[in-house]
Order: sequence, then C-alpha cells, then structure tokens
Amino acid sequence: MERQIINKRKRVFSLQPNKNPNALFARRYVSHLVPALKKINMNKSSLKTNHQSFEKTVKHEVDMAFALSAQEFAWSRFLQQKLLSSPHDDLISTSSSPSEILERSSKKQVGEKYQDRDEEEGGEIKKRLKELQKLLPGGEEMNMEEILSEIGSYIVCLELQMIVLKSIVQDNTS
Amino acid sequence: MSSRRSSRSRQSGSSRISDDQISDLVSKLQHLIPELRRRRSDKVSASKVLQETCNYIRNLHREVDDLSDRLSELLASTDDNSAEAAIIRSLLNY
Repeated sequence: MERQIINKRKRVFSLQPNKNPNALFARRYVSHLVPALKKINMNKSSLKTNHQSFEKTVKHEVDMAFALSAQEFAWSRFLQQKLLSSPHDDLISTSSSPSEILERSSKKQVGEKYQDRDEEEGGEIKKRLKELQKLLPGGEEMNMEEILSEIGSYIVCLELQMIVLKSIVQDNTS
Repeated sequence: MSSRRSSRSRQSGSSRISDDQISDLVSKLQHLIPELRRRRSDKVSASKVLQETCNYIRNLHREVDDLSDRLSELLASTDDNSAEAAIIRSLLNY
C-alpha cells in the first residue's frame, strides 16, 4: 500500500508503517511534535523574551510528544500524567540526580525484598535495581514483572526519539 | 546464579524477586544496550548490566535535553534569512 509522502524529509518511514511498531512510534511522535512546534513558532514573539523559559516550553513539548506516542505502555501514561500536572517543571529526570527524587517510603519496593544472594553482590544488584526503577517513569510503583515488560519499550522509544530529533535538528544545521 | 529456584509468589504489588526474574531482566537488557551487545562473549555480572543500563538511559536523557535545546535555538532563529531557517520553516509549514 503506498503511503503519500508528505514531506520528502520524512522518507525514513517504511511504506507499510503498520507492520513496524518502531515506525508507528516515530510517526506518532512526529505527528505530536510538529504541530506543537508550529504553535510555539507562531507564538514565538511573546515566548522568546525569556530564553530559558522558551527552552523549557520546547522541552515540555518534546517530552509530551514522547509520552503521547506510546500509550500502550504504562511508563508512557505515567509520564503523561506527570507532565500534565506540572507543565513546565523539569520532571523528566533529565538534570535531576537520583538523590533529588523522593523515595516512596511506605510502599514496599522491589529492591527491599531481595535476599537470596551474597550480601555484596545482592546489595549491589539491589542498589542498581532501585536506580533503574527511578529512571523508568512509574518504575517506583511497579513490581518486577512490570519493570521487566516495560523497560524494553522505554529504551527503544528513547532511542527512536533520538533518531527523530536528530533528523529534525541535524537536517537543519548541516 | 544459584541453581535453586526461589518460589515466585504471585501476590499483588511487589513480591519477592526471584533469581529467574533477575536473570530474565539481565538477559533482556544485554540485548538492548549497545555497550553490552558488543561484549556478549564475556561474562558480565548482573550488577554491571544494571549499571550500564542506568548509564545508558541517563545518557539518552541527556542527549534528548541537548537536542531539545538545539531545537529551541533553531526555532528562535527562524527570523533569520539563513538556509537553515528556510528549511525549518518548510518543516513547520508542510
């Protein structure tokens, strides 16, 4: 089935996008991001006064497009909720170090019940697992099974986002 | 990895993590993380895999931030008459 090529720069997509979940994510991502950027571009004069808040606005839309393009995954829905509740804060663990993220104290988390191995190796694994949980949106509320099923898609989508953003940015500055 | 199987409790919420779950996670991650794919022949410890994964995710986050900033710069500069400005204008007007 032939797809209409809207913009020749988007030739990266396959002709049968439905067969490729990666292309599906990428297509959704672009379809969310570009209109948002257009809007920003139109309202630019009022936004541009403060360069930092302009950057934050763009980042917010970048994150939002990301969160909206993979709704079949829990991390995506979690991310979306986070973004909607605090629109312009840097919540997406970008510059925040793990120590700034609040521990959820009352819920028993994945790492705390792990006991079987040697103290040292087990402790190390436990520590890393906790770190990973914090990096995955919604991870702190997931059990091991959920983390297992969510982490793969999260990483792949992050990589895809990278490819799309690079193609937009680098296309324009080479 | 110990040969003894821990029982997988099926309680709701977080349950005791079995060795199997850890090794499932680790082998999945080994396929996903470029750094680890390259080193598949070596034995990589579970904590190393987890550590590399965390580093990889953090790197990806940083790169997204970086690209997002460059995107802001591009948008901010489209009033110029440069070639780049023309291109991004066409992207936004398609």
